[in-house]
Amino acid sequence: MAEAPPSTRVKVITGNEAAAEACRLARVKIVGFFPIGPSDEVGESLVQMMKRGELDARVIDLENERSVVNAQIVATQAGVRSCFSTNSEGLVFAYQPLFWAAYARVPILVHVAHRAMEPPTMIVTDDHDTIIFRDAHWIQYFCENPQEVLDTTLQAYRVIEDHEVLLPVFVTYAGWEVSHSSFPVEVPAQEDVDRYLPPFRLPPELDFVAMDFREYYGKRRIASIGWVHEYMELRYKVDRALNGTGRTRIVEADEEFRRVFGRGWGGLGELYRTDDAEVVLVTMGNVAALARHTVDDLRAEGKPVGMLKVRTLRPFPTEEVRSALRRARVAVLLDRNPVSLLFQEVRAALYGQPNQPLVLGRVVALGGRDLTSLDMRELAEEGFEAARTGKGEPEVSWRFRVAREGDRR
Amino acid sequence: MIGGTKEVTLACMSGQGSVQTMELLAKAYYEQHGMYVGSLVFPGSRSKSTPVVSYLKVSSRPVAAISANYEPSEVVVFWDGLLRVVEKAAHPVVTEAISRLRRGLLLVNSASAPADLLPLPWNFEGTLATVDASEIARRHLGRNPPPVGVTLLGASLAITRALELERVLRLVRERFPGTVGEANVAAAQEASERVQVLQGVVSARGQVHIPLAPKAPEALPEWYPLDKETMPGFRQGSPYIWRDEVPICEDTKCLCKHTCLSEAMCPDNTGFIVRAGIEGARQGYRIDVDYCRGCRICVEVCVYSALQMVPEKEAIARGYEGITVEPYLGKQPSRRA
Repeated sequence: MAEAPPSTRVKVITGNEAAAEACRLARVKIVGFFPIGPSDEVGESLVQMMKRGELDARVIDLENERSVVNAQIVATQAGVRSCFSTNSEGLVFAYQPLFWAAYARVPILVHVAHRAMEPPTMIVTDDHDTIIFRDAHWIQYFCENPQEVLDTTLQAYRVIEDHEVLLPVFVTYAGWEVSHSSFPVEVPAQEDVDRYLPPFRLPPELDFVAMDFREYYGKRRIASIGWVHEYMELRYKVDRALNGTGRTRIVEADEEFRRVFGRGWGGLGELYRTDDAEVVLVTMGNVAALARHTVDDLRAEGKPVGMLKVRTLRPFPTEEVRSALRRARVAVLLDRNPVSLLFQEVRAALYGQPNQPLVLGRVVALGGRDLTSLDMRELAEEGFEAARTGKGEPEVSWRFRVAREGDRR
Repeated sequence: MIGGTKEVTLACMSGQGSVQTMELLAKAYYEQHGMYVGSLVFPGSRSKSTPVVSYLKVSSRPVAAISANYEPSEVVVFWDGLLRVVEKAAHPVVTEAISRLRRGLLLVNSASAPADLLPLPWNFEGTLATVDASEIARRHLGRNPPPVGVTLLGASLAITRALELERVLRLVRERFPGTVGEANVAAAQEASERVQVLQGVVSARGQVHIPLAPKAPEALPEWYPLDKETMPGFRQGSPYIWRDEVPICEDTKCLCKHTCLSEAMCPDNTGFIVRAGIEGARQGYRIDVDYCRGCRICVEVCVYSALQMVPEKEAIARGYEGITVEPYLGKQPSRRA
């Protein structure tokens, strides 16, 4: 590998630092901050950048996450791009303003380095903390490595600030395993990012700075009566923004990113060698990186296995799931949360489709429990066994096993 | 090495700096060898003074850093107490992380010579090295407990020569600009000269067997009590306590009656009682140091500055009861008096 000298723009940084780099490149003006491990490194890195004069922004640190999200909403309504990084308990603390942001159509971005819900007081990783917001009309990205965190953040700003979307977004990644893991990351040049990501402009109706307040308050008095009749229409618009326009904008943002920077992450989901796959591993987040290796290894042995990475939990990539599993006989769903959400979602997406595959839900790697390529291989073998016998039993199970001393990985 | 992957494991107590060290190592390996790097952190708990294990993988193909290191060629132990944890299998993750080293380099932060650490409690062949990094780092950095990561890095590179020391020190200066970086660089250079190396160590104590492999679902206990008395890391006399200093109280200065702000602010609920001025209580104070992690928050909030941190050994010499230096291993949890 030594023959290719690393490009000067490649930095070895952690997931949190990659998130901070992305915020810097997006020229955020407001940095919301409330410390909670493993997320706080994002805010700390941004403050260091400000000290070095690389970023012109203001830090808002308030008494809790709820206040910070409220401040972020207000800043965004004033036409300023902002960022905030929190997780588990912090997100739940901000429960109310999170919903408020979605239904007021305020495009805020929150980075989440996944962390388990309490009790016990653990700081280990678990997707549970954002998937409980699956019904809040937030866009949710799951990233597998620091490079994807950086790229996705830039894409996310582009998507949410589109006037036909205007929804908040979670950019999430595994706590510790991505947030504190050092990887080589290609940091794009500022002028390329400026070309890709236009400055933040609110539509005139939502721009609180350009707004005529006398007219606004007059309108609102009337509107608060009027919305009683239009509540359903409002919710319909939000749902269309997420599941209609949002879907296409996410794919377009990724394609445009590929055009400008030369790499993409597959829009709503990535299909990896699924064309003729008999068994497909369905993953989210950094489990996908390991699954991709395992697919390569098993393919080299002539076993038809593929991988589908669900990149956005919301909007859910229904079409991608269907096309990835069209030829498959078994889908093995690797859930990194205690409620088997992927299992529910994928099965719902497949319902009523012709030639449905067997679906095996497997809860794996909660709290940073080791997941080795040996484990992944065995999960795939379980899929082949189910394909052979035609029985997918048990439907959902928890995988406690870890590779032992002497096991070959 | 597995499939052309070089694996390095760092085991420390939180606050000793293995995560920052891992980041520096990853940067240096990428810069010098241009290979794919990936690192993984196994965090302890939210509190201070719990074990943290960091894994680095250097490979010719993109790294999926989601699992521990299974065949490390180098293990750096940031505190020699962790070797006793291995011996007693007191912490599954730490025990496995260290005892998976079959051959290669084991570097221990310890005041003793390498030969004094033998025999090691697991099968191991290779090089054993020690350096008193805590002492060096404390002297250069003036912090207690001292972060010893960069110091140990200097010692490790002096032995393996896997990376150019100068390159790593430049990264240290970039990461910690100013005096902190310079102090770390000086500490690393001193450690690289003072490291004691013992080659050709063969230790055959058998395999440490840890029940990290989980139980079958039906064998799991009916419920897990989420009680401070029984939770790992909070257990009385926990093996995970790592500290150099404990708070002591000068009774003559202590003037608050009945309410102690320090006690209320203690993040670990050590529940210490300042008895001066309370009628009927015996003189002196008692801090339940089994729980104390030496975070010195109590000292900072003490209204009359009656509390101060003193080295634990000195506190024992002065006859304060309830203080032990040896990490606690294996005793069953008991209710406090």
